[in-house]
Amino acid sequence: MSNFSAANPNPNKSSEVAQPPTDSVSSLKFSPKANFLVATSWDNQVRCWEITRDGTTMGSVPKASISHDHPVLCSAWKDDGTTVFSGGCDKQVKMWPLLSGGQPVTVAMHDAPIKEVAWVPEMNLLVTGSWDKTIKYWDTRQSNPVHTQQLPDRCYALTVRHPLMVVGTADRNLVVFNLQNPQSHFPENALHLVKPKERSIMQEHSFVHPITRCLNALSFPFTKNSLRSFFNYNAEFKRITSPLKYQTRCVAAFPDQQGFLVGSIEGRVGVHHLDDAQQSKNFTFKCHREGNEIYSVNSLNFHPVHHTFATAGSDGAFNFWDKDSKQRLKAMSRCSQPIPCSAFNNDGSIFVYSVCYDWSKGAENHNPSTAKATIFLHLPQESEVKGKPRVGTNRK
Amino acid sequence: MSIWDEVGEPNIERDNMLLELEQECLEAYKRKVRDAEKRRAQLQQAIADSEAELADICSAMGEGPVNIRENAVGGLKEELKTIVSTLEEMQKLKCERKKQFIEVLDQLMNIAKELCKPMEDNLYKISMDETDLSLKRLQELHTILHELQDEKTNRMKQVLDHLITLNSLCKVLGLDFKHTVTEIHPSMDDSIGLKNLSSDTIDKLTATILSLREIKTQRMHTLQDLAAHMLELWSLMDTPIKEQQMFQNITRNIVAAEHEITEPNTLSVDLINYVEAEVSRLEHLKSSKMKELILNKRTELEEICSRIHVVAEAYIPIDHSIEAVESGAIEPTYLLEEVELQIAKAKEEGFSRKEILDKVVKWLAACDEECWLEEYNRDDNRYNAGRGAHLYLKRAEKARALVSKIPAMTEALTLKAKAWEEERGIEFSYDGVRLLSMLDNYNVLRQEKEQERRRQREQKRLQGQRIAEQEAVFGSKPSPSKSGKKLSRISTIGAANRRFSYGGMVLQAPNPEKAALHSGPTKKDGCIKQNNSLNHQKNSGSTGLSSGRKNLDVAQKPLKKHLTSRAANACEIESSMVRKPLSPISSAAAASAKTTTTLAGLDRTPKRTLQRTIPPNKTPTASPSKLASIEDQENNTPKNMPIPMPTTPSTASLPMQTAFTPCIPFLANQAEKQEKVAEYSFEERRAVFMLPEAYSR
Repeated sequence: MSNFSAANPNPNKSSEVAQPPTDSVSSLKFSPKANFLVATSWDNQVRCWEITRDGTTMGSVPKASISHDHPVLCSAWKDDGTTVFSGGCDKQVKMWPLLSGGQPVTVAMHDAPIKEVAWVPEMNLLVTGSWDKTIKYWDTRQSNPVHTQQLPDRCYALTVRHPLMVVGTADRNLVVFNLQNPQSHFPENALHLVKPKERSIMQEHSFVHPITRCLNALSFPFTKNSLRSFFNYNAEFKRITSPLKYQTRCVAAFPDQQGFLVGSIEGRVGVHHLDDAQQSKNFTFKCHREGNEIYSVNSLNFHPVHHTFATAGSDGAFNFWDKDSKQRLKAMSRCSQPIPCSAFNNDGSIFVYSVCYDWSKGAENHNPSTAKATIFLHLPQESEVKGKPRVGTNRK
Repeated sequence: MSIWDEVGEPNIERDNMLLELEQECLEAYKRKVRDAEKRRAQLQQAIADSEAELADICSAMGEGPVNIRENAVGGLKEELKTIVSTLEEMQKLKCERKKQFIEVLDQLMNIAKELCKPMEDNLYKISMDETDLSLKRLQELHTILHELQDEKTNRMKQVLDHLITLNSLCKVLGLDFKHTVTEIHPSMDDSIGLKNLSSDTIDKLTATILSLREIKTQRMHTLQDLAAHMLELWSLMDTPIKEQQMFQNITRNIVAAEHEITEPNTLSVDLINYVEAEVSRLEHLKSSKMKELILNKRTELEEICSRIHVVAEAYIPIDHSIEAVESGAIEPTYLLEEVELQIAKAKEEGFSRKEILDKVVKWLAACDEECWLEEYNRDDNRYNAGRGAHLYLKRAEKARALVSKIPAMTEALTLKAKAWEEERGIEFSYDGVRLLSMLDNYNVLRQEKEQERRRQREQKRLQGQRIAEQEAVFGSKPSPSKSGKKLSRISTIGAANRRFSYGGMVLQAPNPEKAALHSGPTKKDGCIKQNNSLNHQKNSGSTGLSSGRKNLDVAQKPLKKHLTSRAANACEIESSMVRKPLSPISSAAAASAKTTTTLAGLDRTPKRTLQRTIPPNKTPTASPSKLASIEDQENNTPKNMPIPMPTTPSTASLPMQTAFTPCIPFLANQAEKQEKVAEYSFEERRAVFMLPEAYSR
């Protein structure tokens, strides 16, 4: 079943979203507040639909759209569900206050296309990851980034669950960040900022370090400089090489922030814990394979309620898994084209996935005339996404 | 006549009498007529009087004269009666009219008094004029009254308006309204009572309102200036929204016009003081932040300087310090610019120095190696087959090759530095010392060493001659001294290891083992007890190597020896496990392999079978059989772990095809990386395909 042509584009009988993009979908994101769906696409557009549900029948109403100058690669919702950020090959991120009907404004710039964007509500910051080998943190009211973090290579994947942030780059690097509020242990670290001579002067004259003084006097969480210093001294937590032997395609932080999933182009997912004591719980598993055919894992999404997760791959299938019992909960039938992206809605009752060419087989396998992008809505059964107690523990 | 007859009055008498009578009669008649005439005249007079009075009244009342004479039929008396009744009527009328006038005039007077109008000039208008009580006049008075009443209501309204305005102004400015108002006129205080409506009061009110409005405008400008400044500072310092919200009611009015500011207390002195305090606090904060920024920049500059090995003081003007900023001698922004300029300069300098610096680093490293080599050469035991000796040999070999290149390096560096100095016209200094002088010093030192070496060789040759002579005399040869060499070598290695962060792990591996060997016996005892309690009893005192060597029980010796080393090995692994729980299995295995090989080199005792029971395991107390099984498992990772099928095949769920992931340390894939060509993600490939111009690499 290596070629898709004869296969059914919708074997799982999912509901189709009306007026889909005219080219491949690059990201799908549900609003954290309501059933508003945003899709970015290679046709330079960012579209928004309202998804309605009546029993098992789904409806979709196109609401609004904006366009970029070049293909759009990523999107993110603000936590209050009012605003959408989208970035891509035009090397900028646009902030689209779509609930208020406002016009999009550019809030972030990079030197190369922007592959990932995420909103960190706990810090009120936007994080962008680019192929220019940096991630940048943005206060959307300012034109300059609050901080630029150099990466070992081009950013391919990014996941944030405060205080954990994991960035996957080319060459299988995984950079783990701790975005924890640095206040509790900050003043000691801040002393490093001062050269020894001044430090001794400060101590002699019981001089309080300016940063400490700021923090004491104000008790507001981040000043521009404290943020900068925080990033200098605390941000990068750990740098590891992917437990998978092939290119990193996607990452997803555990809902409990204890670790993350990493998916590779070689049909394999790694389950990685951060705590040294839990290294024995790390494992990898194979998925999205058909005999000798191996497909990329394109998307990893944790279920917001049950904390199981979904994988979607270039084989056109999506599966539901439980990492704790190490079980596949449900394997869905393969669609006629790859699934490049997928997402759960805020309560996990809807799973959205797009079926379109993901370029996994290069330009030669791309036929613009037959390629059609579709977005499907799947209503997961409880049995598909609710973890089961572990079975067969006698051997482990 | 008869009487007269009787009396016989003479006729004359009689005639006289009759005349007298006649006269008397006439007289009485005349008198009566006169009386009647008099009465008539009196009546006429009364009528005339009454008529005159009537006419007066009529004219006063502005009515036409009443014509009564025409219907005067019943004589004068009748006429009089009519006139009198008419007159009475008219008088009554007049009285009433008068009352009306008094009423109106009273009202007029009251209002005039209320309005404090100077009435003197038009007093005639409103004073009582008995002669003019006409309706017209009354009308006139009424008109005046109305006018005045209108004026009064107008003024009332005006005053109330003013009071309302004043009240709102006072509220906005945070002033006491009552106090302000009573100052103008005490009657303004009570909101219900009668107000003083004099134009004077109104003028005063107007004046007060004007002055307050001026104050308001003034304060508004002050506040708006402050708010603008505050906003500027906020945006400069990224003040959080929460803090900003506290001042939102102020910043909201930043562009408001005077009449738009109506909320109470928005312009009170307290508020302005409060805002002023906040602004000065922010200002203070800004200056401290500026200082902080300068400090950061300064640190950055120093870092750059240290990186390019330039003395930082060369870039920092001494008077441009934080103290100078604090004392106000220098504007912080100026200092910041200055420091940034210096950073740029230092960076530029760094670029120009880079080439030479790279060479200097190499040269210094070579010099270090030379020093190490000299030290090593001085160690007479260097060829003893000890732990890691082959590594030192290898290093020495490399060092010799490097040292042979030093003269050429020095030469090249000197040329480069000279060229640089010529080009720029300044000395090339390295950490404050001129590089050329460093190189010169080195050359001098090298020559001295050369001479020293030649001298030593000469001495050695002489010594050898002397020994040969002694041998010839005594027939014996003194052995070369051994003391103290070993320790010094170890320390050198330790120092060397500190320099190499990555290679250090492998090289350092023997050290903990050594430490374990020399550590107290109890730990080893514990380990030995697990394996051989009998042995433990025999070695209950000290199990150190030296004591073991002294042990006369020859049969026991090899076993004990290898047990000790095995125990040490286990301890080493254990300690490494404890110290670095994250350290990868592969490196631990490498370390253990390393240890065992060096141990094998030391002991030269065959112990393959026993070594198998020393896995990198956290539980040294476990039984050997268990250990062996775990070791087998370890050796086979990574592999697919078979996971049993779920007991409920009715569901679609399946176990994952899992494998345990060995944690690969970073940099472990370096070799692999070199084999591969640069990889690209699907999106990158598509982006290059679609937009080669936008995404060029």
